[in-house]
Amino acid sequence: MNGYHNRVAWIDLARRRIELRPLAAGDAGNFIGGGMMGAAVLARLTGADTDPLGPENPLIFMTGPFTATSTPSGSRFSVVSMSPLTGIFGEATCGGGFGFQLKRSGLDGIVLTGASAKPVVLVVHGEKIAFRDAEDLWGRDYYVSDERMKEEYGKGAVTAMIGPAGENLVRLACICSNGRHTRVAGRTGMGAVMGSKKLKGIVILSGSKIETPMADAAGLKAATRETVPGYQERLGPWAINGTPNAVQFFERVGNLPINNWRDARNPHIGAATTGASIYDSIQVKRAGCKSCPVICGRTVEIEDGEFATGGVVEGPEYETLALFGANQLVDDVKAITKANELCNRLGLDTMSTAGVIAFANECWEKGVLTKADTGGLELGFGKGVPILALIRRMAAAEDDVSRALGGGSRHAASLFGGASEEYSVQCKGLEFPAHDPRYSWGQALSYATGPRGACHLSSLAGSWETGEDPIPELGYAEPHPGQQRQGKAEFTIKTQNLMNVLDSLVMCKFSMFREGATVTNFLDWYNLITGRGIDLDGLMEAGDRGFNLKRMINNRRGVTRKDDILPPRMRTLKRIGEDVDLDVPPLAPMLSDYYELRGWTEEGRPGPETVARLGLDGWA
Amino acid sequence: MPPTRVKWFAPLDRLFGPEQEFDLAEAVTVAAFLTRLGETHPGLGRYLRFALEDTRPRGLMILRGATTLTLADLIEPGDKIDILVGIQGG
Repeated sequence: MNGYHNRVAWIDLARRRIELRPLAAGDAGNFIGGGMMGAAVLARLTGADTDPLGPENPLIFMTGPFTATSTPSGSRFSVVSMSPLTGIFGEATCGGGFGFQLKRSGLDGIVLTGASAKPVVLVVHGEKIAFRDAEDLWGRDYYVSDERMKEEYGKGAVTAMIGPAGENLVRLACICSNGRHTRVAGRTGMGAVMGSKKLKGIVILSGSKIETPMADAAGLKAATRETVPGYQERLGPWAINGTPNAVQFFERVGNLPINNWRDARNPHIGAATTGASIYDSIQVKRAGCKSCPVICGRTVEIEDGEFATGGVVEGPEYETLALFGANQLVDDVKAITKANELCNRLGLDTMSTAGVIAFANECWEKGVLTKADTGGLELGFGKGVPILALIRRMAAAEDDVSRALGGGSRHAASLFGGASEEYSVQCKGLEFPAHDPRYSWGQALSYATGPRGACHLSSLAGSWETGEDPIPELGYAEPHPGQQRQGKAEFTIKTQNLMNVLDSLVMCKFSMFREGATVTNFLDWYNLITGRGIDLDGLMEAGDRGFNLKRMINNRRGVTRKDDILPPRMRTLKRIGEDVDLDVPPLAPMLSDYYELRGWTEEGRPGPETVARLGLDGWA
Repeated sequence: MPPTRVKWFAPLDRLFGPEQEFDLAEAVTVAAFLTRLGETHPGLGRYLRFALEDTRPRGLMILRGATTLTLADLIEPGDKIDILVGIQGG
């Protein structure tokens, strides 16, 4: 089977049994790999009442046909499970070297079922998988655990592990990888699922070089080699400061979250916390993921003072900078960097954690939370130090308030009551990324309809709307204007389907910036690898199928039209400031357009014709 | 004629300072203005590599107030424009 090893490790953690199984018949063709294939496994194994933190919830690691090939930026991996944060479909993708090494070990993926009685680490060495008791690692932060695994198994070993947050079943917990150059499977609480299984981590030893079967490996190599120079040239200027430089850009155009999404502009914070400010002060060098020629990451070090990082660590990217920075009215890149480092050590999703802390800060400001609740910790916007204390407490789940916050802002608001629901900025329980739906109506529609909740990567609509990154193959040689309702549903659907494909190949979406790599490239490379000879319509149909499958999983969990909404703040508060005049998005009519084009019922379920067209009868 | 003010955003401000003023005798297109800047600001070269090949300046964003300018739009003497590196993030 070209593009796959046709081998997935099914691991029963309760019985400590390992079984190598082929991919389910039809899954490669129908769902490609990565997130969509993970969704297929999840749909088969779960139901309406599956407890996300129960042993019956599977945790699925999946690569795709691009993984560990010569495709640039194609070595990410997906993690799929039922989310303990949202209660619905959960998915996260991660860069670094883990996905590459998993595929080179001869595995397309790993499916973990049940729960171990005691903490355990899985050790993968080529085609051999073993269990290592992990009582000695339980309670350790990710950097310490990763370093211990490298001491034991060699410097080339790659890890995917949880920190104390996952062990404590904090619903914002992530899975960390790539050591101190940390990459994470961040969103939807996948770390808590791993913790519920007492699985501290997976370690893959180096040395295995099992090549993926390919239809035309030489052709792929030639095709990708031809792309890379242009790719580097187009993405190079962007990559110098990476996504962090988006802070000042997005502040200027009205996309940056500021003061829990209440303010329109703050040029001071935009300038003080943008990527160039990191470059000027604490950056050590650029750092990239395995097999990626772009190198958009960066390592940093703060040597002393209250924000000292204890050595070189991965620096914050745009989302973290914005959500721990401007959204908290914090203008100090060192404080933000320390928050990022703490989250990576403790295994917390920076985006949800920052969103919850902004919620907590507003609760503090409005008197919903007081010193009596916080044990004397004085919260409030503009303060970096209390944020660090709150991160530690949330990871430790050590008191009522931090446990409430660790359940997400929707959960905390349900406990705190009063007007606190207004301060919770999330969709379906997933806190907002750092992209304003008032700036991008495509994101508005995406946040409301996306399978995992408020996710900008579900469509990346905001990027395609700027005009920087045309997608002529989908009919968008010219950008679809950010605040235009007409045609927005079609635009959002097409970009969601395409992003679904990328999450399944598994390809970094940043590769599409500046037309570094194009949809035509992806299709060519996919056909060179698999030999399937499909056309663009076939590729996009797969994306459509996977998107609808994820929706059906969510429908089974109770999601309907009533849940396809934006939070109160985005329904009522316009964003108006100097050179920024943004209305609230007209979600209701756009949603009706969207449902009609998707072929969904009024209730928000894929209709019978859509289900039949996509071959999804009986799936969920 | 009042000078035309350009505000540079990061990282271009590290190369050219936060603001510069230019004397324009008459209105010029964004394309012409960028071409001229490329000649006098060598550090801008890598950002201009793809900027003039389409209808909008790819790789750069030129703003006048709340308006995003295309290559064919005119910059008038006395305008205040912001030049940003077109950046995406996620």
